[in-house]
Amino acid sequence: MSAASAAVPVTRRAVLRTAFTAAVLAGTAAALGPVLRSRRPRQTLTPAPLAEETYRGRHIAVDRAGVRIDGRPLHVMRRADGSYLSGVNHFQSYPTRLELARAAVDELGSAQLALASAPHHG
Amino acid sequence: MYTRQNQKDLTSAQKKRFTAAVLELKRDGTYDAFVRTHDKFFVPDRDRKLRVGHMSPSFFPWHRRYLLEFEKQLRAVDPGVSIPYWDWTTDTSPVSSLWADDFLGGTGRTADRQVMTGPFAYDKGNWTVTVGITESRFLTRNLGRPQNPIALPTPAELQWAVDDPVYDVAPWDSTATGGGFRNKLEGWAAPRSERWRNHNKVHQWIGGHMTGGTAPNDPAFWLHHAFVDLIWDRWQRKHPRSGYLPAVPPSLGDPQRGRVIALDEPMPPWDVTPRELLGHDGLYRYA
Repeated sequence: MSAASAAVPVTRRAVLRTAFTAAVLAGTAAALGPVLRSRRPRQTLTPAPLAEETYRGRHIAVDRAGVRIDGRPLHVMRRADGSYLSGVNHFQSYPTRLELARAAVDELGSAQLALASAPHHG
Repeated sequence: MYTRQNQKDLTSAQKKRFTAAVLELKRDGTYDAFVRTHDKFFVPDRDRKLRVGHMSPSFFPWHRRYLLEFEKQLRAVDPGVSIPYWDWTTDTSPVSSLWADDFLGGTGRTADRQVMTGPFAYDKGNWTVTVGITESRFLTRNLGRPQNPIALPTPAELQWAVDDPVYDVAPWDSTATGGGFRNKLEGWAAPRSERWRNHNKVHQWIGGHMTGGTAPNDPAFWLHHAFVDLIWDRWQRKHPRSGYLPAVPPSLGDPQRGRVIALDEPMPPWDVTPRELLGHDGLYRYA
């Protein structure tokens, strides 16, 4: 870069034009960035829910990735008989994840699940 | 040698000393380490991992040692304190003395299940939940689950478990329905009409934090499990020729091999075997 600058004398106007163009390009990238970043996860990580409903005022979504209540992940576990347990209900299981989510809402009252990842077991 | 008393027989002074010792462990961080341990060792039985605390034969010895560790910490604070037990077949009211202001405090309020009375009420400033799965920092309860009422186990229901002469049966998990004291008392084995019994049902009856893996956030946990520990004694006395099962690890090829604890295998996190915890002579007794 410094070698090129030394070999080819540049006018003040050329320098300004280059800087302006770079700024426009950078600005475009900055503007497009969030669009590009947000589109991909929406397509790959959040498929259409297998089940979705409002239950007692809370939004429940069940998809392949898991169960969410008002957008927050509910920690889901399985029993040997195939039924489901959650971070909210460890001592009672449910035949489907939708029933599990409703039971969690019943127990949560107005509390929101924590955003942090669910506790790890074992 | 010390005595674990029925909570209904404690004097006001004894209740005060117990809750004060619990609050001190909370203050210095010891308490929340116990909450994390319980949650960490809750391994559901579909997982191909070792289960020590729940859905497995070592449910009784694991919790016996867990309570002993907690009680050791309590007694380091106040040597005159032990864990009281709650006989949930007799003290069945959500307004019994157990849930009074001078002991564990009462049920949660309707909107958010927040416990508002007693020494563990958030507003008292001494009981902030740090190991939980919700954003709430306050202790929650929902005694009797009024929106979908549930009753505590009856004496007959408890007896149904204690009468089983076999400690546990294959496949040694929550689906062991061919009998077995452990699964009947832990509460996964139940008639179809009821589904949950005994120990599990008590967690549900208290509600709030008690229904989840961080159940020990509620000090009621210790009184519940002291009674579960006492029931193991009762079963042993009733069936003196029965013993802990499995006596030896499941054989090669058995899906439960490596996932359950046999009589002489060490249990994490203490490396103690069920055999070492079959009795508690010289340590404590129940009154």
